[in-house]
Amino acid sequence: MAKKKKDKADKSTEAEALAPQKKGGATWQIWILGTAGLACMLAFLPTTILLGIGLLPTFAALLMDPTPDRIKTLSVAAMNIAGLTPFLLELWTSGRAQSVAESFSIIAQPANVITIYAAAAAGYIIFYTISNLVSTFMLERGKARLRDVESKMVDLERKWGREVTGAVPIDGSGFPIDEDLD
Amino acid sequence: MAEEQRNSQQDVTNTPPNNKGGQKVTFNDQISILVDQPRPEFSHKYANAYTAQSPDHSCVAVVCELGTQPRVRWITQYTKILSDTVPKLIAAAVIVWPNDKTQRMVFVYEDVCGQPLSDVDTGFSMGWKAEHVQDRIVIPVLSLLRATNQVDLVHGSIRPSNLFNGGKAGGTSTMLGECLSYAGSSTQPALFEPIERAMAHPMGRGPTTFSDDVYALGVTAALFYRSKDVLRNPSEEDMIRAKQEVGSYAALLGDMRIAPNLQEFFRGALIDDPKDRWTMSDVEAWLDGRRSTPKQIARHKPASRPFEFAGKKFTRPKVLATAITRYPNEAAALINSDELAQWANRALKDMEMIDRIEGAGRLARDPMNKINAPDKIATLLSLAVDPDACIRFHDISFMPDGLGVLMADAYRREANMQPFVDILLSPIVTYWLSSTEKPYIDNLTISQKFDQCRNMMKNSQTPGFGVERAVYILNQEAPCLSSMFKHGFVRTPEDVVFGLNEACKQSPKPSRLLDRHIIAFLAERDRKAIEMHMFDINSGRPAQMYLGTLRCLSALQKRSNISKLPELTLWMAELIKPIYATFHDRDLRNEVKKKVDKIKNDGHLWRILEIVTDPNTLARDQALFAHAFNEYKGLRVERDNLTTRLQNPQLFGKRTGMEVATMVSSILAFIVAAGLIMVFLQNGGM
Repeated sequence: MAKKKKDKADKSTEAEALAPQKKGGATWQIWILGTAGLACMLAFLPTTILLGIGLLPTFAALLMDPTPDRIKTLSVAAMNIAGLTPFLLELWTSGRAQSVAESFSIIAQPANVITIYAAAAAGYIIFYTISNLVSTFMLERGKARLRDVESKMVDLERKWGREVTGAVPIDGSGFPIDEDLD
Repeated sequence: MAEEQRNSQQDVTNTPPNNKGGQKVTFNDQISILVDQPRPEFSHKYANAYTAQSPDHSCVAVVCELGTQPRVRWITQYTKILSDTVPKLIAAAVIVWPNDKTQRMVFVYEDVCGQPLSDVDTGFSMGWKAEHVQDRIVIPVLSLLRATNQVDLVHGSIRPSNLFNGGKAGGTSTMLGECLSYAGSSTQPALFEPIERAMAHPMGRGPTTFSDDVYALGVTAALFYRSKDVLRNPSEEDMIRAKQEVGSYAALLGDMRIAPNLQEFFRGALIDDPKDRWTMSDVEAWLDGRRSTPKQIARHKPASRPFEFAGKKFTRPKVLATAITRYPNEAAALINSDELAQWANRALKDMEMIDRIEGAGRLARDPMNKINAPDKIATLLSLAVDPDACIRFHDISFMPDGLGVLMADAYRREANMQPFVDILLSPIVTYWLSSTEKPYIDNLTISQKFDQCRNMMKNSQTPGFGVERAVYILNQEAPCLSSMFKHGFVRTPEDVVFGLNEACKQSPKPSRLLDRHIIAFLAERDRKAIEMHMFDINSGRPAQMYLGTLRCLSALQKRSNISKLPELTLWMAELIKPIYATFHDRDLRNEVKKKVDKIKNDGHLWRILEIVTDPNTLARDQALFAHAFNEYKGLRVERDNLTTRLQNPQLFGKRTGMEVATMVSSILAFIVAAGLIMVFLQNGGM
């Protein structure tokens, strides 16, 4: 008990010593990255606008995703980005490249928005359909495996007796201690 | 000889009575015992004699009674006796007696003895002339004793009814009867035994010594020589008392005038103190004609004043000692007073007796000796007063080296063994050995044997130890006394195996083949055969017990080259069923059982043993079991895991499903995006 307390005290001392340095480092990195990101966003504002509006379903999924590791968001985001790809190419290759007006003109067309959002919806559909299919398959396979395992256990017990189960105390040779062998 | 006996036992044929003659028992294909021709002159308490026929001799067969203890170990010595004064031994064997189908030891002798010199042993006086006594009794028998002494044998049965005329009435070719068909001097009336042995039970007298034979010859010669019985045919008890009071010489011959040539013999042979009795060299000197001054018979001096005990007055310590053993409660009261020590001091002036009485008192006060205290006190006190006497405890009396024979006899009679247990656990024998010098006893050997018995008694609950083991320690001649052999005569480990084979023919068959007696018997007679299996044999687990039994009996069969034991092997194959359980694999058990069933009719125990203890099979079974054990353990963990996960089916595989869905979505998105980019690039951009 005393040793545990001592270990705990040592760890807390170490953490305290490292804490200001860590906090300061993280803050510094966030600031750098944030500034760089903001600069990029401002530098590529038309793309930023297109992405910001086109990826709204992904942002919504990110906010509402209950799955561990935001796995549903990944599925939606992948399809959402795939749906956005032609419009990004259009923006980047048009003569009015990097024009905010061009961004808005692309977004303003309902067909484009529907295409982008439909792709995101496909991501949702794929996620729900495939995950349900796979889990159902896994469940059935698990049930079958359980039956198989139980059957193997019964076979082993029949061939080797109760002592193989480990449920009865056995001696060094593997025979039940408190029972006659007959 | 054992092998011969066993073989002959198998060769016995019984011929039923028919019109031509009586019933015959034939063995060795040569010797026929005529059951309807008894020979009472050679019969005694423990054996009956019959006329027998062999191709070369007319014979007498002495057939031992069931459960007796003949001196089988002395057969070789007997055959080496260079004297015609005893009948020649033609054969000795164990046969199946037709009347009751029991195994009997039989000794076949040449029928050369003739008629006995007397039909009775006590209460007679022949009044023979001195020369007759000397020539027809003393010299022939002393010559025989010299011959027996050369082959390290003692006769133990010298008495008038066992002396024969050699087939010539009035002739001089005196013969002495056989001496192998009984234990020690168990057939001798007390009259022919020295005082200390006469007081003992006939079976508890211990091994006969040369000195005892000389004494018996002295008594026998006295009966033929004297012209009147001064005590008028006394009872054994009165005879012993008379010997204690006046000595054997005076009790037998009184104040009779004795011829000088015989007087020296009588005085040498009838001295009550064994230290002074004739030795071999005295006998040889006398036979060679060297005469010396007759030994002086020491008179037992009475006490100067009597000692009162149990309402009677005693002046002789030996007589008092006998009375003490008869009144144990009075003896128990005596131990707490110093009356006896005072009497020893003042009336006997015997300082050694005082020391002995104090020693007895110390032992009597020991808490370890509180069980049956009055009997033990009486015994200790009697030995303090008469240290030369035999041990008299409760209702048994014995010389310590005769206790084994007495115990074996008690087992045979199914008598109460508790007094023997009390003796073995008490310090009585040690006290007897230490109380006075006894030149005729091998103190060290007896002491070691009784120490061994005491150790065995400490573990008396375990088969192979306890009072049964003590019997075989103390009695090297004792046959195995197992109830399974009550109709047999089993005296060697090989006989045990044959006996068990016979027992397996009976119904019901024995459920435990090695009982307490057999284990104890084998532990003493063939330690190697059983010692290493003793733990297994005594195990409470049937498999272990039967495996130990099988190992022990197989070793005996193999070592003794016993070709077949069909009944025993068959029954063993049934008994060892629990051994199959020593294999983990149930299928292997059936396989092993089938193998045993296949060879169980062969009669070889060791082949069964080889199958059930095959090291390769056992090792493989053990290894496979260990593998199966681990496999089961893994399966149990998997089952528990699956069971827990399947309790929430909606969550089962969900994570995997989501991961797969994400993967599918990502791949699809990549394909779509890549396709669009390629299409876009092919079109040369917008």
